[in-house]
Amino acid sequence: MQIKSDRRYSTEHLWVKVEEKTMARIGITDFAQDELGDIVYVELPHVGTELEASDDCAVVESVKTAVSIKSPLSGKVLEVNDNLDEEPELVNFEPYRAGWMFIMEMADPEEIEDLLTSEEYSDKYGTGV
Amino acid sequence: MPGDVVPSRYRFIPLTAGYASMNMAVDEALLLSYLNHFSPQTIRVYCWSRPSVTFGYRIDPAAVDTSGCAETDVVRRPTGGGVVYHCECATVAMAGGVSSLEEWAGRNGLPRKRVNRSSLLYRAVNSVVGDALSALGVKNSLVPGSTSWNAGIDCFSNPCAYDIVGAGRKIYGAAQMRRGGAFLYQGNLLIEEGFDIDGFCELLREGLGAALGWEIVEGELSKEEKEEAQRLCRVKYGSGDWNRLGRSPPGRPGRPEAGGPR
Repeated sequence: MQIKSDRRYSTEHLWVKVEEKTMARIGITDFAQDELGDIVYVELPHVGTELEASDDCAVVESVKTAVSIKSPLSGKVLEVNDNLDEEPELVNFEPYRAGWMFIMEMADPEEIEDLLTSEEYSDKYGTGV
Repeated sequence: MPGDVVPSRYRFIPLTAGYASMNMAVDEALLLSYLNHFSPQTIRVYCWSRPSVTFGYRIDPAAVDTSGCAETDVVRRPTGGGVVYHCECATVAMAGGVSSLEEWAGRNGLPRKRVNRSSLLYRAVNSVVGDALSALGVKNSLVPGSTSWNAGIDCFSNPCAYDIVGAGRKIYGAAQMRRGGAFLYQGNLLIEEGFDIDGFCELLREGLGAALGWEIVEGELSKEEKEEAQRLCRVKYGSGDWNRLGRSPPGRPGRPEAGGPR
């Protein structure tokens, strides 16, 4: 299982990469995509949506399972990965790169500290996989 | 897993019959109530009060073939999967925590961390359903786990891993919704006239208890669960926004139209 050291992780298996002072790119982890199996559908939030941390923000479907995804942070959705409309499998193939889901302007950058570090995520989910 | 819920304990609600929108509403109410700490994990079996069509969360409502279904209810499910035509059928629904699969996983030599895999729930529960059908004289077999899902729109024309086939056709298929470490499972069984549905329910209850290591006690819906189901039926499963436009109702739980996914 791949875990990137340059980002933080939620216990619901989302990664967060801070790209500028208050902007964060968000996607699902390699662990999560592997657990889900072949992803056939990704529903993303509207650009402009204001989310609170833990709000439902997206839905992913694989193997007849619709999975509700919770936002790891509070903030406003600035951009979504439209490529996932036509190629949801990008989440399986490149969860940390082409399979990113959305970019958010963080309302409270300190929330990042509530997320797991790569080491903590690895300790929790990186063995027995 | 919600607070004081015993992971291996489930409630079993005896056979009921309902309209499509209420069937979906009760199922989601059970999941939400479990997540909100005021319901136990639950198994129930229900029939359909009249012919209905349900379709999976991702399916475009415009793609659902309802020709010849003028008098049927057409409802979008909270779970994934394709289109299901409910005529002579019964549905097995379960709402619980994925951690309740850990004992079964351990018995089957599977890492406990893998219980999040949706295919494991199909394997665990559908095997029990198949055994119950066998005990009732319905010859059947599980589709091999290596069979991939082709995401076809017609559920019963597309057998995939752990579906149940009998007499040359798919007779049981299931779909799920996952949310915050919990699952909602809905499995649809095609039945023929004279099928012993009460016997099936009893065998299912016994089989799930034995195979998954669950303590299963009979119960009924609480007043709060009924109220939540009625609310969901009113604002979601009985609404054109959800069923025809694919929009979620405003407010939580659920995804508000403006704040939720596109």
